[in-house]
Amino acid sequence: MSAAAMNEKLGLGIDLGTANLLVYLERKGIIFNEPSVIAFDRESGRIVAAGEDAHKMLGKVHSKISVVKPLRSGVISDMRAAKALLTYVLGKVENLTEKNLTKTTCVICCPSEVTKIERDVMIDLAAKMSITDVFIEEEIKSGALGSGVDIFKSKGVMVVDIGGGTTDVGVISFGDIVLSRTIRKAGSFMDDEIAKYVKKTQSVEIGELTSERVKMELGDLHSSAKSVTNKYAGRDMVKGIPKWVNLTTEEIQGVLVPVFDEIVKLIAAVLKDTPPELSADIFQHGILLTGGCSLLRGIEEYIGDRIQVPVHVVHNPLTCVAEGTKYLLKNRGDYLVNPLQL
Amino acid sequence: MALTIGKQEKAKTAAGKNIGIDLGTANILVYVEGEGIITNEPSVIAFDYETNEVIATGQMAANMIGKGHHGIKIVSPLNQGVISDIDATKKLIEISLQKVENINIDISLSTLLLCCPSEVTQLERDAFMALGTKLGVKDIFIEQEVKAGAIGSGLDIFSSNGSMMIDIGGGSTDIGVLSLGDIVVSESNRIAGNYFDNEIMNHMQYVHGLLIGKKTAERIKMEIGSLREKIENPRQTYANGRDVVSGLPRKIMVNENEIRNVLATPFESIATMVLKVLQNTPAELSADIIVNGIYISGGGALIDGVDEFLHKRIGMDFYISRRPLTAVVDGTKLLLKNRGSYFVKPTD
Repeated sequence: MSAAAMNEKLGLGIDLGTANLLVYLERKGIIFNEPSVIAFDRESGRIVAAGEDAHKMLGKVHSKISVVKPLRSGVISDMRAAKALLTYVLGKVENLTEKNLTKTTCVICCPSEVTKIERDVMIDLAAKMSITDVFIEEEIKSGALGSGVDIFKSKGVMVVDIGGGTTDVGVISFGDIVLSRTIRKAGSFMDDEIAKYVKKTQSVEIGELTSERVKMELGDLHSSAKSVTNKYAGRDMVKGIPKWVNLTTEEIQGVLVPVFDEIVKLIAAVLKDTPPELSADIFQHGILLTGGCSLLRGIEEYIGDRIQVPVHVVHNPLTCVAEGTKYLLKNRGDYLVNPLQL
Repeated sequence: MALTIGKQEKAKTAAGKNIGIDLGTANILVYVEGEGIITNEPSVIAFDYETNEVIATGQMAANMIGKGHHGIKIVSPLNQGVISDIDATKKLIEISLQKVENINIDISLSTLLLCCPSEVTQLERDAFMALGTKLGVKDIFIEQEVKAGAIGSGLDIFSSNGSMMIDIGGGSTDIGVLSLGDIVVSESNRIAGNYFDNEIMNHMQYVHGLLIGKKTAERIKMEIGSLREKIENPRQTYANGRDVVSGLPRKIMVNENEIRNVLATPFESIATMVLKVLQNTPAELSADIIVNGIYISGGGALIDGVDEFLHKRIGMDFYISRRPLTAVVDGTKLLLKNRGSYFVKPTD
């Protein structure tokens, strides 16, 4: 690499999600796509594991390890852990020294409706990593760009991003967001609801990892979903000993439907506030669905039936936000500059 | 020339080694790196009463239990899993190490790993450390028996897959749930091999009016000890001792059913303890345990039908470790490599 190239500013896009952390590095592509979980040694504070390895440790550790999820409901709740996680990820990149980081331009994606303080925390995080040039963008904007939609036209696009911690709904036109809303009910909320349901009906406690697995394996929103029964292990609340529970698709659908009804309500509320000209566009082109929860079976049908607007899941629901940062880095989120044409 | 080579060799062999010791109430097992298990004998030592010289150790001393005359003092240096006589323990270890031929271990340069029960007090733990200091070892560390036992039984405790281990030894029964290379929940009580022997002795005294010795009780337990609910052809063995009333030697026959009823009570408490550990286990690990089952090691695992008995009470799958008696000391082999740190996974 020539000296000129070394001096060039390096672009860094971070999708700091509650469930997954994705890091995009210019010229390298997505360098990290793993759960945003980190495990520390309690005594020394040393990092034991991060990402996928730390995720496997959830609910399984002895007293010498603490497993931390640095984000809760879409925002940073543990600064130290968030910094450690990012440092760890960037440390894995070759030829990336601290000196390079100071010259880096960094975009961090965050949910739509976060407070100023929560936003500032994200900037703080970058500052702690000695990155000075930081800007924050909304996840839905990045997600729409990443899924290959040209948002710089005079065509309204509606994006629904159902992630781990938050569900964002927004309408984009002319390269920026017209209006957007957020609720803090998404993937991990569904996991909690499933765990609660199992606790209530079968008096069995299941762990975080298990309830996530239940959601992935049995979650089906089709009105005529094929009935599947699976066996999951947990701990009997009464006797305290391990126990198998049988869960069916119908049961899980019953748990997920109220959550999705709220999401539908949110979409309806956003549609209600959308200027009519954009509504027409949305009606014509449909709603874009991104985020991990859009992988649930039958979600297109479920939302489409209730809103009466066609719904499409993008081709890369998990990575589109990180991929979108590629374009945002080029125009720094400026709606006047179309990075797709650069 | 030849002499110098000989000297050099001797100097080389006198170097420090990694030594793992399973200092059990019933048996002492010593593992030396590169040599394997060099000692596997009862932890008993016999002294001359007057001169305090060691007369016998291990199996020879164990044979003397209850049979010595006033000139011999027979000591079990460990009681209920912890050190009760530190000098005798020291002697026992020293002699065990000296017994090995062709190696000359300089113990002061060695790394020593001692295994102790799970719930020992700090004082009892300090006694283990003090023992190391007395032996002149500078580099010593202590690990819990369940951890070593789980590794020795071939469980991969370094993965995030939880496993559960029961170690029914001579002095203490330890139960532990392990994950990511360390213990998550553990429990220990003193209902173990020696307690079973005492129960058998009491039973013989109260029911048959026969006083029997510790060794006889142990033999009965080993020969016909069983926990099976249905015993098709009950095995029989003789019990000889002294009649309580007449004071005369007497010999009676006992059968398997009788001993089963005696052993069932202490094993009920072990089952309760297993339940207690399971109750304190995080749900995610409970899920792993129901899949992987629970492993039993230690001498108590050799009692016929112990897995069946616990399965009936608790409902999980129970497996007997492949080499229940040496599982702990086998585990020290790996623990010596990573010094018990959960962070470093020792590889073969």
